[in-house]
Amino acid sequence: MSLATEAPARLRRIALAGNPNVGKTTVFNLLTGLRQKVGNYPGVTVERKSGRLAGAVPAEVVDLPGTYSLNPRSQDEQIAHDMLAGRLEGETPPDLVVCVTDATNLERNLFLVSQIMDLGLPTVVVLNMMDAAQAQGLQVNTMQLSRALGVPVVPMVATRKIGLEALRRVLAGPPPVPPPRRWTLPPAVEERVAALSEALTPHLDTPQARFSEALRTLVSDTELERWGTLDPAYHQAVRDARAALKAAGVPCEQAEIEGRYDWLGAIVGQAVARLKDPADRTLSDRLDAVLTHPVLGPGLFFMVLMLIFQAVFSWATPAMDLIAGGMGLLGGAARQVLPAGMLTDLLVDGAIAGVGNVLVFLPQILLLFFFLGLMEDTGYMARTSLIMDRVMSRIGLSGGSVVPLLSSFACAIPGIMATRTIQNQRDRLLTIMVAPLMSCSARLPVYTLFIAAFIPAGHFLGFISIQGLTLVILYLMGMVMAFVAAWVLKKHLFKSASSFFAIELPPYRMPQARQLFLRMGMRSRMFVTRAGKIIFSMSIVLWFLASFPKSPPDPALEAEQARIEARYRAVVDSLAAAAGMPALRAGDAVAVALQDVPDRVAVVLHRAGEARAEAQRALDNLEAGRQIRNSIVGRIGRFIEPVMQPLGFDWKVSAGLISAFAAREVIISTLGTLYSVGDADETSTLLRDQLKADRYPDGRPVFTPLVAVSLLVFFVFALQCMSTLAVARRETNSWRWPAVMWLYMTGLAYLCSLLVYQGGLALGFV
Amino acid sequence: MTMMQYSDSGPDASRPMTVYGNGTRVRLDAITLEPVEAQRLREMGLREGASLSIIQNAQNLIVGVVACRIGLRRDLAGKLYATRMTGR
Repeated sequence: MSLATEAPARLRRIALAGNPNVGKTTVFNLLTGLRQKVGNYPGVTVERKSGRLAGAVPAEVVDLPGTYSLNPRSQDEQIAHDMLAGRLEGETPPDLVVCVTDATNLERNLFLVSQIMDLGLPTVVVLNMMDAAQAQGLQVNTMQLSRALGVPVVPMVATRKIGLEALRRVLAGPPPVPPPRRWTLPPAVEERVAALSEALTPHLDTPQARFSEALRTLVSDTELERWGTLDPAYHQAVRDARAALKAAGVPCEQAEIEGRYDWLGAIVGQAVARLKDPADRTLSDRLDAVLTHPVLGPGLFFMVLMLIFQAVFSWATPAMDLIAGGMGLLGGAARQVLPAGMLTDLLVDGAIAGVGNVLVFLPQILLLFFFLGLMEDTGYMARTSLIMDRVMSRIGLSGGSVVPLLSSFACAIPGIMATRTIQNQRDRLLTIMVAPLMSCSARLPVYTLFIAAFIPAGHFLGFISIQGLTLVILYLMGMVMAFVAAWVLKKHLFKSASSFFAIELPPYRMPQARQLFLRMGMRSRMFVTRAGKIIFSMSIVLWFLASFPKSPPDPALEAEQARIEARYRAVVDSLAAAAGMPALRAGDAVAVALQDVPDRVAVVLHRAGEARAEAQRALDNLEAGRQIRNSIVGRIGRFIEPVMQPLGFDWKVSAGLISAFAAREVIISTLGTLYSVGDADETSTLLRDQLKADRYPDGRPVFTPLVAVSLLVFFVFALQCMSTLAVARRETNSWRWPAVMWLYMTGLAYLCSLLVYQGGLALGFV
Repeated sequence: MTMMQYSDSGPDASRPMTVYGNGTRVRLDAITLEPVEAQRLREMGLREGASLSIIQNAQNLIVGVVACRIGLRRDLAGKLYATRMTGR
């Protein structure tokens, strides 16, 4: 293949471009191996994948988002376009573009290639999936195609590494010189584009860039908008050109498409021979007959979802418990090794707990990404969007929202991250906004504690457990509210009358384990490094709020401490005197001497030691309760108590709600501390009894069944989770949407709790 | 090799794609969507003059264009006009 050599001596940046589902990421993984970096393009949520080119050529390979054309309509496409056009802030334009195409559908794939070539960028075309083309009876003459296009063409079967060496050789050589444009526009359009290109001379350096931009502005409103502020005169010139073409009856929107397809149709017709007729029904068609069947399809999808839900909800639990236990052990070990004090508290309750708060989600995220990756790689994901679209579109969502919403039952964090599979940005944002309304697993301990404490254990209709029914109702409330919120948000905030939903259904394929695990690893690493930073720092902030200011010593507690010690010493001293063992007078050295004392004395000593330890624990719990009362969290709890009272919540519940921002289940340990129960969990009967026994100064109970129901309703709707906010911030690349999410969900929670509590009081419930 | 003939009148006049049954081969005549949406479909290969096959006409539609399959929301498919192609 002859390649001209007027080009930079050393490749610096290679961009991988192509339509969705053409195996671009597989080619990227082959070229870069494990030397990959995942991040975001500045200011947007679009994932930026790059890596060092394996081999001797020093180059960075950037995997651009899949796109059908360079007429950008989504954020992904805008990034791909801006990167190639060299106008992405902080990114240098590529020195070479590798266009990955699907050999079974060349004409459409080459449409994008021709747009990229028009930018004047050195281009190499990879004809991927040559095996599939062969199976369909297509024979592609790559030399002829290369000559017709004017760029190198490399046939590949990326999944089997066939053609990889040939591609590497091309990349190691000098970049090909881009050929002149070989397709034509209708004369009237050509004339207008030439005039507009001329008008762009002050803005763009090369004639190719000017032509592409002029054409783009002529056919794309999104692209034209930009020029309204950049150069109003040019903006007006384009509008005039459009009007003139319309008046002349020339459809300029179609001119580019027709011009390119006419050229490409002829090229493909010559370079591709069909050796046999395609099968009437492919394997994919036969599978689709079942998997997208109006009745069977949703049923099978429901079973797949149950499997994913079960995996994320249950299979992850042992690993999560292991991580939580490990972090607990680490904290305990740190406390034993380090001297007691503020720095140790910061390390254990802030830093180690913060790292734990991040890592504990990893098993769920890994499992979810495994299943999502499997669905994507087999081609099933696109089908699920199609199957569910009809139902979901009625409430303003799309078919792609189903998996993220159901994943949110386990945890909103993987759920929000799963929205990446939704192509439409509005639908994606809307799904993120309502996903936290699905009752996640962190709400379950709260539900369990309050249902067990305040909801009667009887049966409804003789066989339905009232407590179980309450739990189901709580889950349903969240789900129904998510749908209502989606409908309302779509109607008012994400207004769009469009019913546009068109999705390519790639052929079913066997997933590649390496690709699957590489992607799982990358996405998980991204969660830990990006969202993790926010979760970790917020954990430290919450630790600070719950730990400061430090309470001054309480004389009553100090006196009690002295009494405990005195009681113990008295026992020890009396035993020592009775046994004539002066060594026991050392008190704290009793343990050392125990082996030498008679059994009876040892038993008494042991009991005295246990009594002292128990009294000490009770004292520590009181002290911890006093500390949190005096802390910033406690003070805020008391400050907001008047606002929370209409919902039936006293200052302790209010403080618990604030601390639960670290993670919802934290409200239980906070209430445990406030009620001086110590390490409480949802099964703690002592905490339940304390809650039931608590009274206001006027003798009214603080917790009644109605207060418990009000609190449960609050928990169903409130966004009490900083990790969710952090991930939403990460996925939307702005604090704006997490702020809106927090405000609407907190408002909703407040309103619903208010209605429940005040309505309940009015109806005579307590 | 299959030969296709295009008919533009009578019972085979241009109709919304939603009226055609599974397995029907059609020629896409017109896309009556907003320009931006129509452009997107054209870029996906669903352009005027393209030969399509109706793979599945159920709640939504699956159409075949060359070697690829595209799922379309029913409302949207109703705005694409196509003519049945007769083959032999």
